[in-house]
Amino acid sequence: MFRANLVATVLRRRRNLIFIYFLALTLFMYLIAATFPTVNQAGAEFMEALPPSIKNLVGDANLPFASLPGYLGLGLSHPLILVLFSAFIISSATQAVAGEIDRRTADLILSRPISRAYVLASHLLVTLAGLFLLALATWLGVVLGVFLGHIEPDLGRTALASLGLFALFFAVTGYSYAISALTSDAARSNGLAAGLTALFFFMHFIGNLWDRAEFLLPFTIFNYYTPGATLEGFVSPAENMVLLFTVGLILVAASFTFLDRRDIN
Amino acid sequence: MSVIVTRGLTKQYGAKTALRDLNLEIDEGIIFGFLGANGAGKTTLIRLLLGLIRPTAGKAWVMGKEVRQTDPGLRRRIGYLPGELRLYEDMRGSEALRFLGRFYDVADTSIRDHLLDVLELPPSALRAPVKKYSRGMKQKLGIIQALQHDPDLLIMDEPTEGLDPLIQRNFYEVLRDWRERGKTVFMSSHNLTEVEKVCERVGIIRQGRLVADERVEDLQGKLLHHVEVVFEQPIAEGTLEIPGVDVVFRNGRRADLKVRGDLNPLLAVLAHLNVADLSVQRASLEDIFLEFYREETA
Repeated sequence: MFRANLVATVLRRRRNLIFIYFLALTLFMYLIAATFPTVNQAGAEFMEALPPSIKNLVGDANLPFASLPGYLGLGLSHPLILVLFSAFIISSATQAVAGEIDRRTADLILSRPISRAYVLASHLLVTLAGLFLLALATWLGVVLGVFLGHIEPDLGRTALASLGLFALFFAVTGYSYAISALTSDAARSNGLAAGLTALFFFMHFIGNLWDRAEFLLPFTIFNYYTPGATLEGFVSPAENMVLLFTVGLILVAASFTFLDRRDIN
Repeated sequence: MSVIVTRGLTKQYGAKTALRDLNLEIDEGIIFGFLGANGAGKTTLIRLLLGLIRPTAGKAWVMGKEVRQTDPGLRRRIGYLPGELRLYEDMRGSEALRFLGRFYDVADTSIRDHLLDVLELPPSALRAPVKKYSRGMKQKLGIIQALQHDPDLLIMDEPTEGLDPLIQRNFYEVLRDWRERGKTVFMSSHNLTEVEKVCERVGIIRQGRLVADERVEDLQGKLLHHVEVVFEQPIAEGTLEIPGVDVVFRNGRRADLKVRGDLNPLLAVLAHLNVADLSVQRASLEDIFLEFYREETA
């Protein structure tokens, strides 16, 4: 039977952060929604005039940024969103193993009559619940914009775009947990996971900017996150999501194996 | 019945061997003291017994079950106090005890309440966050969390670190009570006086090797004696040059000797001399411990 003791404790530690991020993301997406009607033509023209490589970074070069779906897609790819999600996932994963070992509380918890898998699963449950809430917040921000009469987007497609965000960061969860399960130092775990995320983002950036680096694109998770195209209905995101979820699942499974086989020093 | 058994237990970290070929058997219902200098391998053995690390070679059994990292059932019967105790600083004392105790499904809090009383940790202290605790208070909390589920085997790494002498005395009483109830205590310590006071058996580890494993009295009696001899008249130079006998101090008719091992060669020599007074004392555990480490420091 899965006991909630550890889950409740981890949740209590993370709840303030989740709550603050939830509010920040809801507010941010609401602001995106609320500013759309007032974005002047010049702003839209400016966005349209950007080179395709830059436009690719925020979704798709073919997207009309002056349109509502394009504009919302821009919001969902905004660095603020990516940074907040990354910070939450990476810090949560680090707390799960490397943080416990670094703080020397791992001895205490792993000497209880519980398995290592239980410890990891408890942390993972809270991380995924938090990730779900943060993804939900991005959708709720848009819903709030609809409710207050600013915009009228397709809420189904908006939910799909938010689900895409969940899938992207599920993949980040996978490698962040795997790194945490292999390391004993919180700073190292945070640094490696953040560095890998930055590397994937850079690969996405350079792959879009430079033809000769285009071969990098299939190898970065950001290539499979296309909120603007999803909102426009240009693509069905199912394939991309399946790929991101598969990557995440494989790495989460690997993190259970890594933790089970390692020494707690 | 043996509560802890190890056979050829070895742990290597890269080129460094932290524990080598350790064979140990600890019976039920005793307090076993595990002594060694820093880095000798005490904590490595404890971590191996708890399944926190895997042996490079050999095996360990605790309460008849082979220690495996994945066997949480075994840990239900173990209470553990880590050496460098770190608690969840954001919790209150009472929360930490509740959190750590809930994993054992023990609803009865009588042991916890008794220990809070004996170790003098008042309810007001339990309401404070752990981060505000002194070293001693944290150690008390650590001891209580290790004992509160009434384990059959207690594994404690330096249990009295940070405790004041009065609380230490109460803690020794707790350990004796525990033993009287048929429970087993395995404790590592730097405090040799403490081990001498509470442990029946002692193991001494040096550079990862077990160099002694005996009853405390046997170890004290067998290995080292302090002998004071007063002669009727001054003795000739070289009279006391006997293998295994060190002359610590000699002044006219009086000699203080340290005898390693068998006393008989000395007694045979003394039998031919006019002895006015003779006093033989077993060495303290500290002397024995230092003796074992003498070669290393020489």
